[in-house]
Amino acid sequence: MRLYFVLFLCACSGLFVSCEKEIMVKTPPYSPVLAVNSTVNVGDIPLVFVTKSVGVAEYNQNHNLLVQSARVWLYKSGLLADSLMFEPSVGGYLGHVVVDPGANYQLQVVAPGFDTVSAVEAGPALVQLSKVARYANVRLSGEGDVQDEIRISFDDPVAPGDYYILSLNLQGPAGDSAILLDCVNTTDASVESIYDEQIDNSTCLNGADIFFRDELFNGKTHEMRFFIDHKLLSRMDSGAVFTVSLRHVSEAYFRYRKSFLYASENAGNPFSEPIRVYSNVKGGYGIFGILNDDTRTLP
Amino acid sequence: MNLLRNLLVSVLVFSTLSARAQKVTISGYVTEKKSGETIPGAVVYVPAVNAGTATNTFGFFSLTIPAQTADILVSTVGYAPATIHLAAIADTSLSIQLESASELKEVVVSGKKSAVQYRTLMSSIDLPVETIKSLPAFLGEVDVMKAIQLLPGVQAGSEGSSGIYVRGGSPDQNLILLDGVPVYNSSHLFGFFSVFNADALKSVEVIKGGFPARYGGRLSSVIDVNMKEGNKQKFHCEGGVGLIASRLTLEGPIKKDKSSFMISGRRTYYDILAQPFMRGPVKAGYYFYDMNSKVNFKLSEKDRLYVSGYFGNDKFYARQRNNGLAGSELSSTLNTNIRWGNVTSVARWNHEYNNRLFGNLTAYYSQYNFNVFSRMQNRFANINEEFLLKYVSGINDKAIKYDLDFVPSPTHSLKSGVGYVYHTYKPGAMQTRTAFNSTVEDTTIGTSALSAGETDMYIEDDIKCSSRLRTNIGLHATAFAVRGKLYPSLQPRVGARYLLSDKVSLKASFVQMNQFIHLLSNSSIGLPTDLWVPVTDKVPAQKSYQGAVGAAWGVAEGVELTVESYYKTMDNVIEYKEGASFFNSATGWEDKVEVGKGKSYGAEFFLQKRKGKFTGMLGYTLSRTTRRFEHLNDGKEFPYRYDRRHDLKVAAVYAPTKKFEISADWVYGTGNAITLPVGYYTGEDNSLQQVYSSRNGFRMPPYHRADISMKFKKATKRGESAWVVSAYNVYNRMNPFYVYSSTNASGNVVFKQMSLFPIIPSISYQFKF
Repeated sequence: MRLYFVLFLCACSGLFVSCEKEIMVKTPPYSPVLAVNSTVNVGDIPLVFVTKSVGVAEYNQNHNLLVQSARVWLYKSGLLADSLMFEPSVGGYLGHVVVDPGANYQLQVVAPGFDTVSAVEAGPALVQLSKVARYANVRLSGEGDVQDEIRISFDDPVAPGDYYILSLNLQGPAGDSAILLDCVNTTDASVESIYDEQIDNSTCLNGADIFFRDELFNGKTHEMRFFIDHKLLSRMDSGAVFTVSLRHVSEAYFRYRKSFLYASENAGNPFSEPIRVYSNVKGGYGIFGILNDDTRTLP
Repeated sequence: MNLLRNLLVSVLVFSTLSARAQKVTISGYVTEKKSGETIPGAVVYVPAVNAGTATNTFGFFSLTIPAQTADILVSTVGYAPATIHLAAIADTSLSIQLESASELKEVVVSGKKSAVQYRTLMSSIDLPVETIKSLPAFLGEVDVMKAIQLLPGVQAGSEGSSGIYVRGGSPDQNLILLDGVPVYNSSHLFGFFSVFNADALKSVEVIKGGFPARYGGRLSSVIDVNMKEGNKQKFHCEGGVGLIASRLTLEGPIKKDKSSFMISGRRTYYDILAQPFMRGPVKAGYYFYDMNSKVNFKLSEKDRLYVSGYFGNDKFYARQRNNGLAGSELSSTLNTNIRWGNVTSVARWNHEYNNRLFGNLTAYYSQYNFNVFSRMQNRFANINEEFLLKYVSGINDKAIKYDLDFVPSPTHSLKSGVGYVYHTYKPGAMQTRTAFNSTVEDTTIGTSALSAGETDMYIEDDIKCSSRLRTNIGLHATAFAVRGKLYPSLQPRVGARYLLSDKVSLKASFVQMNQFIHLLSNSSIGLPTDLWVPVTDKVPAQKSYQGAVGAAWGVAEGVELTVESYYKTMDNVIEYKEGASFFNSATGWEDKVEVGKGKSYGAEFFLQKRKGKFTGMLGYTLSRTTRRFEHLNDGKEFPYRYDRRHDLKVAAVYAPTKKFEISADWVYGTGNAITLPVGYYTGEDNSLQQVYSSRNGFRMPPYHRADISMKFKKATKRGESAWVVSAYNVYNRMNPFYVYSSTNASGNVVFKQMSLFPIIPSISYQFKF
């Protein structure tokens, strides 16, 4: 009798076993374009990666999409400032002049067989962290864990429209890898979720990329509070190093980085609408971003 | 003649009417002979004066004609038509009994004047419950919503789902009524079954457009389901045992001819069967059940009281107990329950003020709840640790309304009403408790309950303009109050029918509909986490305008053909922003949706054969549905996910003898619209990024499927029993549930589809006595 039951249950379970098969999907003709990726810090020499996009039908993960025959120019305030050269050791086009804050740059890339692409970006000013402090055992998280507070402050420039990406990093003692800070809480109303959802003081934020803009504090000194698990920060007692980086970025890079992270998190979810990663490259894909960051280490 | 022989007419009350000697009013009820159930929608027609009317939801009719001796024809789908010869010289009250077609030796299903070409209302289909029961069923479970999916203009969403998309609308735009009460979640088991137990139902009507003014609150359809009242003559039992569920319905008189009851229940038992095989510390299971009940009382000749209710739940549970883990003193228990379901209850009191004025007072309560409960306890030596989580979301309505049917003259039939609904929304609240020995911390996250008041008023007049032209003109007014703001709306409704000949009529309609609630759902399959929320400043009320024209042709007796075309616009429809895929939208949901416009237009062809041993229907829809949102697809119009250019459905039932019946259906639909990558490029950090098509720029492979069912009936001493053998997806078509891209062993991109259901045979046993 038990055998019949087993057979019956197996039959019922089989009803809900899903089936997978390969299908043909007719894709439209696709014209490849250039993809340009360059994220450079103020004071550094630009490094530009140039690749090409390919249609679904032509794509093979074993094929290299790198474009080595491109000509890459950097214009500063409308004047040619640099002609970047391909550097095989890094697989990208390396410049010769450093990027300055406050200047407007245009990146132009020309490659045989492709339409010319370009992107403009301004070098953001340095916004310095005026205070970085840790206060131990200040509150309990929603799960009842003790949290420490990281408090930072800085002076926002007078002009409106400043965008920031804050990184809170905990590096293990020498030789150890970085410690993931994937649940940072905050009470700051200016912080934005990458999902564009409303957040509260129990929302988990990824400490590596905390996004905010100066709409609520333009031109003022702004103090922010973040809460991190006390046990994690206690590792500083045994040699771990905690750093805070405040990256002053353009709106374009801010939008790009948010959509990039969102798309990464959403990859492989068949039930959601796919996310298009923001690009400021005209005629192509990718990002040309200039960042200016101030990094402090907690004592 | 057999039909007439079985006719029973009882004249209950004669009253004199001297003031209007040349006109008399004939009123009364139409009921089923065997059970005493009232019959809604039956046509009462006097050929001599070419005057007619239809019974209301409670089987009541009123018809004023010149005083004379006349034949009165009464007919409706599923019943033998009846002719009453009456000397109508004074106001007369009648109780007319019709015999169910299934009880007759000859199957005569419809009467001439109930034919489609005579009805003023367009885009409306009565789906007899007997027909629903005859169609092949998934896993042997007869399903009202899946039968509705066989109608033209109505589309299924995903494979197996009971959600429906009517004329380009979304599932939240369907007003699903059970005895006049809105049902907010109409599905069990994540949408694979609907909450309606066909054994407990009397009638199902689907309206896709040309909505009369009495309906409001949703944009795209009304599915009006009525429960049986219960047999007033004798006790009756009906049930079935299937592979996954069993059901039982009992009905009978409380006091013969005066009052009756009906109670019906259904439960799945996969969890019970699985229990003996679950060893170890984990016990888990899933089941659903539902119960319908109804009682009615004839309080007097002019007063009737109906009280009915529905109660249904789905429950998933898991329990885990570990003692002495890893040889230690640690013990832990985990108890998780996820439960969701509807409760509806309604009381309706009918009063016949006079033979031309009929009133109905309704008070109802409707509730949908989704609850999660999870408790984890750990004990080790002197340490007690506990984590408790509760999540509650849902909606409930308390409402009262009053409706009047008034027939002031032979050319007018008025309906009017007023109602108030008090909505309470629980858009998701989570409570957690963390306890460590004597230290306890309670946390509450989420939005508190939100209330809204909705006042509705309507008036409609069915006007006989001439012997060929009838119109239905109405106005529905709504005032929705939430968060101190009032959202008013006036919704005009117009419908007309022009009789070209006895067999052919032309029809047209124009309606405006408003909807003051939105459903947050990131799936098409009716997940229990779907959340109803009211309008806000950011997300205003949905509004639609729909115009339709069509023709209806009574090809032959019992054979009807309708052709309709429609154009519908929808304002303030919502769609998730890119990437939105979340199951808890309690906070900040307004920021996660885009508000935009929708458009749908198309043509529908529907052929029905309702008479004879071979009956069936054939429906074809040619349509286009689009959406446009400012921040999606670069602001360009794109196909709706369930835009289906071609949609063909065929269903047939063949009953060569009383002992055997075979039925089959076949559905074909253009594949759902999806967004897929068209290219790749290398992004920052050497990551591979996808270049996507325009939104919903691709099509899944077409959906098609055939089902078959055979019923072997046997007369027993007390009644009838039957074995039903059926197969879903009989030719094992692997229909796409979703499509995704991946790379194969050679590194090339391939597209793959996931399918849910292969061929699924089932067997069930049915009985009734």
